[in-house]
Amino acid sequence: MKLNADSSLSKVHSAKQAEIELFWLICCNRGPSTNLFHLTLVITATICCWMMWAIVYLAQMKPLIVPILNEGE
Amino acid sequence: MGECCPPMDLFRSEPMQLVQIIIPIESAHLTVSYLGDLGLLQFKDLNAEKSPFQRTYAAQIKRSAEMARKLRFFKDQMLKANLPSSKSKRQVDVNVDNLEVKLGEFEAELIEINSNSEKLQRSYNELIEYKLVLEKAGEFFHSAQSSAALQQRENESRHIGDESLDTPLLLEQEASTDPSKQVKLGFLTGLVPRGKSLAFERILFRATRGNVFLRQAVVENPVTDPVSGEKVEKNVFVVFYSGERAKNKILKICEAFGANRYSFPEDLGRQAQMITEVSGRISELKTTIDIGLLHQGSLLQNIGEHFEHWNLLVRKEKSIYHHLNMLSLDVTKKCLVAEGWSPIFASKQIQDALQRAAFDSNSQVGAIFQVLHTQEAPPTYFRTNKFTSSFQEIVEAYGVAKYQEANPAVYTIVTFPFLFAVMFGDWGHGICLLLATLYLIGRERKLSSQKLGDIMEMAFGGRYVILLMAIFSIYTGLIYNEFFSVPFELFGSSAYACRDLSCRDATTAGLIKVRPTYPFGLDPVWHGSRSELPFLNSLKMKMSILLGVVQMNLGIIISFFNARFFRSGVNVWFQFIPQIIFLNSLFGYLSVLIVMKWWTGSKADLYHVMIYMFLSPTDELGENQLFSGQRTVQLVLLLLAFVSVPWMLFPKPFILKKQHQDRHQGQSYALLENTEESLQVNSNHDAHGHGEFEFSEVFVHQMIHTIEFVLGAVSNTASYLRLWALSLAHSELSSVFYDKVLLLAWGFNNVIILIVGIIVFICATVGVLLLMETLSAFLHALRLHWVEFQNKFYEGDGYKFYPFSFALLDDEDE
Repeated sequence: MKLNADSSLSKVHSAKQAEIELFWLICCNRGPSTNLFHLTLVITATICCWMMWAIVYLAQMKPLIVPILNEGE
Repeated sequence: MGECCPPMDLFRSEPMQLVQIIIPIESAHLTVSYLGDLGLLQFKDLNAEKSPFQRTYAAQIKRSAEMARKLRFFKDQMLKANLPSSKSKRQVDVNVDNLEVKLGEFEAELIEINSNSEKLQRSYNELIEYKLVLEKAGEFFHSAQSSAALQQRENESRHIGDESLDTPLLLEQEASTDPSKQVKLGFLTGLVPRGKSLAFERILFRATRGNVFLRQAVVENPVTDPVSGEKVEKNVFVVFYSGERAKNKILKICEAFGANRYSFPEDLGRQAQMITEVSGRISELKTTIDIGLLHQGSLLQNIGEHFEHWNLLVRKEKSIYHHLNMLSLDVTKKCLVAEGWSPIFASKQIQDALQRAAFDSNSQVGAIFQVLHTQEAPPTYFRTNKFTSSFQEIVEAYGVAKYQEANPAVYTIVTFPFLFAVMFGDWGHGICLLLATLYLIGRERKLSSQKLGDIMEMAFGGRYVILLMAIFSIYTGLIYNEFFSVPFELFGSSAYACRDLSCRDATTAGLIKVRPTYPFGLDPVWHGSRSELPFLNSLKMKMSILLGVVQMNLGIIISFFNARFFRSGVNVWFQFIPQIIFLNSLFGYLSVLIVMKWWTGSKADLYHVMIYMFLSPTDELGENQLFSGQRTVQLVLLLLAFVSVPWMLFPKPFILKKQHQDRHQGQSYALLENTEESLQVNSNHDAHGHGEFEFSEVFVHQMIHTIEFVLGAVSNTASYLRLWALSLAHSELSSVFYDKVLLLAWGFNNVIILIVGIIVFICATVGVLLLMETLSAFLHALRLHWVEFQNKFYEGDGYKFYPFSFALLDDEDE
């Protein structure tokens, strides 16, 4: 059980590391102005995607209407 | 951006400078050629008032134009001969003067070969036709003669055989007069195009009032016409006539119908002799023509090997002289003066090129490079790569950025595909789009070198835009939980379940939420339920407004960066601040209300709140209240919005007027610094100084701007609702295709119907959803960027930097 948790932890860890490496690759290996440009792209994309998720999540959090199934089903 | 961080790539166009280069005349050609290789200098035309013929290098331009004409002639010839212009491995360096001589020789040779072979071909075709006439008419004469002889024999036998009282008395007379009449009959032979043969016959008949006898024989294979050189289907004809006048008429008619006549010997022996003679000459000519063609082919092959190289050389030469003509000649006629724009970072490279040119041309003195100061607006130059260039083009299709103005392309790279994807949310369709664009990107090197069709070219040019569009579509598709309109439980099971075990109320009262909210995207249970549309409409409408308000705020914030960059405090205090207050006090507040309503699960009616915020702001909100003190907040916001309108409108024109007055007063008393330079600048350029300050004009402009912003805040927010509309249309269309085509066909339990259904489904998906919907979502995303986003900050009245570069030469001409 512990081993299992360990491996899952390391998986999470390695995923995080890969993420950081990817971020590093995109944002921090060229000249300072290019890095800033790439950083802007990444930040804009992140904000857009996060907003989309947050809006849909929020809207479903306390629903005013609930799903009503169709008669046929 | 300035102090805190380094300047961002692509955010501002490259800083430019106006440079002056003084080039000794002997090294001018080489210098310009090196600058063309470098491709970082845009020459200014210093001889704009001179016509092309008055310029210094008009003669050289004419020469290169002549060479280009010769090359075009060779290209035509090569196309006719079906020879591709292959790139040869060995590129011999040729001098332009030698090339000119060489081209002249080749042209003369080719023209001679062509005219010879044309003559030969013509006589060859004539002979072929002649031979046909001989054969066909010969056949005809032969058969006529044999039938005549047969009749004669018959007559004679009758004459001799049963000479009785019954025999008509005149017969003998007739027979005896026949030969004498025959002598007077003349005939013409030739070929007439088959299409005209009927009309030809009719006209002949009418013109001679029926006194002709025409025989036609069809030639099976098309014949090459000697005059036009085209393949035409023809008939061989023989016309018999009597009398000189009829002959003249027939000759004229033949001419009018383009019928080629050929003399035909009556004598049978001579006919045979002619045929053999003609055949002999035909084969002779054939070999001559073949040899000629071979010679021409080898000549063209020879040219074809060098063609690309020469073509490039000649085009370079022409463009060099074209740019040399833009330089002004010094009074001493010993040097040329060039002026042009170049990015500041290129100064070093340009100076290097100048030095190399001076060295290579053994010039005594090098070129002089100096930077001029000017009031003129420099051109806009963004250093884009293959990824960013298509986004830059999207922005520039609206307008080229003003010099050093903030470039919306930086944000467009992400927001454009994102807004597209909001309207195109379906991860199945996204994957299709992704595969298509990955194909384009994978074969990038191959496709970029070949010519594509119009639409293909467009798709290929925007391949990286489509790539991002596809990736974002997959993301939004996952959020919308749609895969060809089919929901999947990818992120855990639905949060909803029946109220009780029997599930009786599921179709009346609905399900109940039993688990925490679906973690990522839309709960799959909504799909196909009766409350799907009300829920999705409300969600997507609110989402559109939230996204729109955020993007418009981003636009206004960029206008702040612009104002700071251009050091215009007026624009910060009297444009940026009131604008952001106005937008956020109305629609920012609406967004906050939307989020709060979701957060608290309140049943407040937001329409009501917004409308009565204007109509009766002092009234109690009652059950529509979302938080305590809402009424006060609303009053304050309303007040702020009302205040910000005159704030935007009035101060700016007055401040501008005052600034202008100060500047003029200061100017009249200021010391004249570095007089030499300013004099030089003024003499060279019309100083782009500030002219008369028209207060009324500025005020009207500001008024229009203010009204536009105030009304725009409302209409632009409403305009973002297109995100909702398009996304709704997309999901409805795809669900119709899925339910009404695929599932319907499935229901028949018949393989053939199923196959037909699948085919219809695929066609509809590709044609309507993947092509048309992509296009329409693309256009709407384009509009949202051009109008709703860019009108907050983008002036777009600059002009593009077009450097003199040999690398750009190819695209220009073709």
